[in-house]
Amino acid sequence: MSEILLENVGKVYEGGGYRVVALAGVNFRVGDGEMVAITGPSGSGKTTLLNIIGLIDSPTSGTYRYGGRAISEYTPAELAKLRNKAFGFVLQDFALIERYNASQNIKVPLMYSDVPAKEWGGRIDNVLSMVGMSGMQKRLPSQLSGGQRQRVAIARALVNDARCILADEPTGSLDTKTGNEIMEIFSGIRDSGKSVVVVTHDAEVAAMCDRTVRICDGVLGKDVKYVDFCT
Amino acid sequence: MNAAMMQLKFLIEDIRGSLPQFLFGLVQIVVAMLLLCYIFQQATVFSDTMAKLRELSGGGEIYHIRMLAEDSQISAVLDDESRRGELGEFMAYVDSYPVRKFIVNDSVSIGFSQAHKPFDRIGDRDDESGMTFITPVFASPNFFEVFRVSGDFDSKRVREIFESCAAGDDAPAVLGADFRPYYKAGDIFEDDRGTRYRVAGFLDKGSFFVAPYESAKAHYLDGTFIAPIASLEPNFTTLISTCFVTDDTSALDEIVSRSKEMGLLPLGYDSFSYQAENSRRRMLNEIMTMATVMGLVFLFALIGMVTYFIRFIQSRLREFSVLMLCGAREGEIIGRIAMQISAILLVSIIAALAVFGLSASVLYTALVGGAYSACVLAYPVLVFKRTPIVRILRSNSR
Repeated sequence: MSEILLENVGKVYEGGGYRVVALAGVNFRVGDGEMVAITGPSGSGKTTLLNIIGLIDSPTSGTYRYGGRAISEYTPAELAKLRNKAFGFVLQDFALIERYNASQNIKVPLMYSDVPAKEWGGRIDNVLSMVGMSGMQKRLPSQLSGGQRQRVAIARALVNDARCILADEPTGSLDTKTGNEIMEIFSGIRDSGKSVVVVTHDAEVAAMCDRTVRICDGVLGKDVKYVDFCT
Repeated sequence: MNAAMMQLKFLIEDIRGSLPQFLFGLVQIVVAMLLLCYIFQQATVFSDTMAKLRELSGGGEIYHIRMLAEDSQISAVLDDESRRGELGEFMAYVDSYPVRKFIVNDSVSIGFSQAHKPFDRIGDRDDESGMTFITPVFASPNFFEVFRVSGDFDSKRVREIFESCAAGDDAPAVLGADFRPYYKAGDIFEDDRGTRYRVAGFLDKGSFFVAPYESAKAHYLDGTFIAPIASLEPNFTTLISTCFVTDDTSALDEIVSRSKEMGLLPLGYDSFSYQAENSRRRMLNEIMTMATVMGLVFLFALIGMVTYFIRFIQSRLREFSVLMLCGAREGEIIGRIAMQISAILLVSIIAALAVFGLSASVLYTALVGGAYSACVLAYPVLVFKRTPIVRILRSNSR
C-alpha cells in the first residue's frame, strides 16, 4: 500500500525578518491509481505541496504519512531510498542532466536502486518505448524538442517502477498538442495502477485528471470538478 | 551498481569534465606538498642534529685543534722526511693524553677501480682515470658510541676489531645502507692503494653523524663506509680531526705548547658550542625562509583548490540536485567531491613518497594534507547539509 496522506500539514518560510506561510493546515490524500490535479494561482503553495509530497521539502507542522508511516520517522537515508523507489519527478524545466544522453538520464534512478545492472538496459528500452521515444537513446537533451525532453523525464520517472509520479507544470513549456500527448501518457500511467499528482494552472490539464484540488494562499479547498473550478 | 564503482565512474567523469582546471590545481597541490615535505624533512634533520649535538657535548665542551699556519708552511713540515719521527712522537703524546677524545676524518677520497661495480653506482666516477671515488669516514673505535650510529652489527665487537686494527691489516669496514645489495659481512674489497677492507656490517638506512669540526653539518653515511683511523697513516690531518671532550682547556694548552716546543706547527683550538650555535641559527633561518615560501605556495594552492571546487560545485549543482531528486543521498554527493580531493591528496602523497621515500616527513605531510582536504571539503558539506534539495533545484532552474 502506497497511500499518501497529509494531515494538517503546514509550511512556513522564515528568515531575515520575513515570514511566509506557504501551506496552512493542509489535509490531502492520494490513493493508488489516482490522478489528481493541484491547481491555484501563482504563489498559492502548489509546488510547495508537491515538494513535500515528493520528500524534497519538509513540512514545518502537521504529519505526512506515506504507506501509513510518518515521514518524520524516516532517516535521511530512508528518505533518499523512498525518493528513489516511491516517487518519479517530472518538472516544468525537465530537470535533465545536459551532458547525459537520453539513456544516461533515464538510468540515473537505477544507479541508486537495488535493480541489478544487467536489467537496466531492458528497463530503459521499455520506458522509452512507453513514452514513444524508441531509438532516441543516444540523443542529448540539447538535440531533443521540449516534448521529447519531457518524455525522457517521464521515462526517468517510470524506470524504477515508482508508485507515484509527481509532475510540476509538466505541460508548462509545451504547445497544446504536445501537452495533450504528455497528459495521455500520464493517463496511461494512472491506468497501470500508479498514482499521478499534477500541479498545473492549466484548466484543460486539470480536466484530464480524476479530481482536482484547489489551493489558495496555502489553504487547500475542497475537491472541485473542472466545471466548478472554471466558474 | 556497486556504490564504490559508481563513485569511481563519477570521479573519472568529473575529472574529464574539467581536466585543465583539475590538472592546474593538482600541480599546485603537489608542489605545495613536496615543499611541505621538504620542510618537514629539514626540520627533522634539524631536530635530530640538535639532539645529536646535545648528546655529543653531554660529557663536556668539545674542542678541536686548528693549525695556525699557511698551507705552504704546513706542507713544509708535513713533507719533511727528517721530521717524521718528531711528528710521530707528538702524535703519540696527543694520543696518550688523558682526555676523552674521538677522531673523525672524512677528508680523504679513496679511489676504487672498475672491478668494484657497486662503487660505480654509489661513488663519484672520474671518467679520465676510470676510477670511482668514495670519501670514507676514518674514525676512532669509539665513533659508534659517541655518535650513536647503529646498524646490523654488534657495536662492542666492532669497537674491538677497530681497536685491534693495525697498519697493514685488512681494515674492518662498516658499510652504508646503499652497499647492502652488493656485499655481505665478511666480504673483502680493495682500494687503489692496495688497502683491503673486510665488511664488518652495515649501517641503518639514513644514518648520519654531526661533524663538530665542520659547523655541525650532518653527514649522511648511506653512500660511504666507516673504517678505523688506524688504517690511515698517522699525520697532522689526524690531529685536526681529533675532538677533545673536556671542560678543562689546560690539556689543550699543553698540546699547543708541546707543538711549539717541538718546533712543529703553531696550533690553536676552537670551542664547538660557538659553532653549534651558529649552525643552529643558520639551520633555523633556512627552515624559516623555506617555511615562508612554502606558506605562500600553500596559501595560493589552498585558494586555488577551494576556488576550483566552488566552481565545480556551482557548475554541477543542478546535476547534483537532479541526482538527489532521483535518490542520491547528500553523503553520496559529498563523497563524489571527496573522491576528487582524495585523488589529489593521493597523487601528492605518491609524489612525496617518490621524492623523499617512506619517512616520518611524508607521514606528517600526509596528515597536513588530510587536514587541508578536510578544509576544502567543508564548503560542499555546508552547501549540501544546510540547503534543502528544493532550494538547490530552484536556485538552478532555468
